[in-house]
Amino acid sequence: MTIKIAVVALEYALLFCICAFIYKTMRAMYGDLHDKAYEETKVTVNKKVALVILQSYDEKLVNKRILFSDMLTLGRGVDNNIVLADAYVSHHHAVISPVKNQYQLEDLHSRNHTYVNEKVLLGKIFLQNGDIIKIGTTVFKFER
Amino acid sequence: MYYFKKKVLFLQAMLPALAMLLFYVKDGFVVKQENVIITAGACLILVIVPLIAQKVLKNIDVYILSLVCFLCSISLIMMLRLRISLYHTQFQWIVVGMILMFCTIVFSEKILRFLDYPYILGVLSILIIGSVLLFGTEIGGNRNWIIMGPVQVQPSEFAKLLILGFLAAYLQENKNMLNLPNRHWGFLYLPPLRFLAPLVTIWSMALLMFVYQRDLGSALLFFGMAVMMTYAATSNKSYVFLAVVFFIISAFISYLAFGHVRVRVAIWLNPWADPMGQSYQIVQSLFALGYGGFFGTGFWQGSPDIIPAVYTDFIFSAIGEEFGFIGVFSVIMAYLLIFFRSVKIALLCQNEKYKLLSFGLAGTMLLQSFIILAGVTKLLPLTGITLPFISYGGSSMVASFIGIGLLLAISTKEKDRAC
Repeated sequence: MTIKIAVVALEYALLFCICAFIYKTMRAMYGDLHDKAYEETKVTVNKKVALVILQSYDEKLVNKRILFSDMLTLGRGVDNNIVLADAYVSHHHAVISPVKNQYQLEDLHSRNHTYVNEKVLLGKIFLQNGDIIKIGTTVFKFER
Repeated sequence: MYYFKKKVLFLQAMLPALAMLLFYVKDGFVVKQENVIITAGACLILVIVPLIAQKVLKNIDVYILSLVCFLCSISLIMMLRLRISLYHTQFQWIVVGMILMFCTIVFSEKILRFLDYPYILGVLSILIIGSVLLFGTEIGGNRNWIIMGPVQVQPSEFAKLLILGFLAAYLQENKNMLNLPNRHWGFLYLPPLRFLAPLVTIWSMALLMFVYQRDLGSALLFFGMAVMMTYAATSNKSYVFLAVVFFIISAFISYLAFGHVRVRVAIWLNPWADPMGQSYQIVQSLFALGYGGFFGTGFWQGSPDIIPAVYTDFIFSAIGEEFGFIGVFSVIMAYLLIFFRSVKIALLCQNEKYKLLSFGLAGTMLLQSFIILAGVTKLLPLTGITLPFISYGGSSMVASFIGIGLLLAISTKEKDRAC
């Protein structure tokens, strides 16, 4: 009889242990989240970089500065951030994306290629200050 | 992190001790000294490992590690209950897995550098799967084992990690290409076909090989993994749509072509047509789960031993019978909490490859447990794969531990930089 009682008690103890562990873990995680939610968040300042248009098919665009900090897409298609209505530009020609604190230019297998400092761009490149980017007949200068 | 008091860690280590005590009280004369020593060792390890990890590796995510230890202790007590001869080997595999996990964390710099060479990872994974086609032997209906001397290895478990690495690296590098639509086919927005080719190759290679090896569970897992990662990387629903269409077509073709697939589906649709024959396993599993009720029959009180393969694929039914709804809920909750913490790690990552990889590791674990739980409870047709960290099996245990090691390494790395 005592053995039977002991067995039943142990069975419930086992079940209780399982429950208690999950409960405690969930509470600990909730506490963690709760603390994080009320921490003061640091405000990060986005440093902007710019593309300056040096030459273009359209005289009005020359010497315009394009400021950006997020991803920037270039091409002839209307869904790009910068639309270049130029026959030598592909629909989705190139994209500049932020990688950590640098900016990366990627050519999207365009028909007439992207040129950086007079060289054909194959794949991706990190942009430096003062790089000259040529897309179709438009020439940009990268500034940061 | 101060909420997580140290005494919580003792709760998971209590499980094997209590189970052993119960075994001793019930029939003390059967208990071997060896098993008592193993239990003591297990208790010690399950407490010490999270504590040491917390001390030695700063910023480690201690929740994930202690949840994994909890799942391991459940696995141990179920082995003690179901197949006492496997208790020893399972403990051995847990120790090997933990050692490999720490190795992975220590050498993570070098291992994660492989992410810069995605095609090496892709080719390696195809080679591993291909080697199974050549040298594989059939155990339990699945032709996906390789016997190397004394150990039997299930290479698909390791190929899984490699494919995850390949997908993370490949998708990150070609994300812009895959995401900027050049072609419009109706409501689908897709890039030119040549950029899709590596993805489609991985999908269909994995599928073909696994269908050939009759390992439907792994095929489903690989496919789900690829779709999940692609959607996570590109957030383009066209890929999901394509994948679903591809999946329906291939499922239909394999239903027509393969007898074993037809059998699985027939069992799923109506297990009561042949309860003592082909659908004996699933019917017994359903009985076990139903018999468990809310509180379960009590440890050692049920009779889950009559389910075939109860210690690998069907271990969930045994848990359901002996610990009832509460036990089942706890196990599912443990998986969900690990997933939640891992997604938190992924969201905090700066490096996009690490971000994708950690999401993929977590998602794969969750998907794997979903597929087998759904199979056991007859939500989906049964496909035999292991329940991570609980089922008996060396390859699965070690591969899961390496995956968790990678996840923890990524989390420590990212937090170090943030400080």
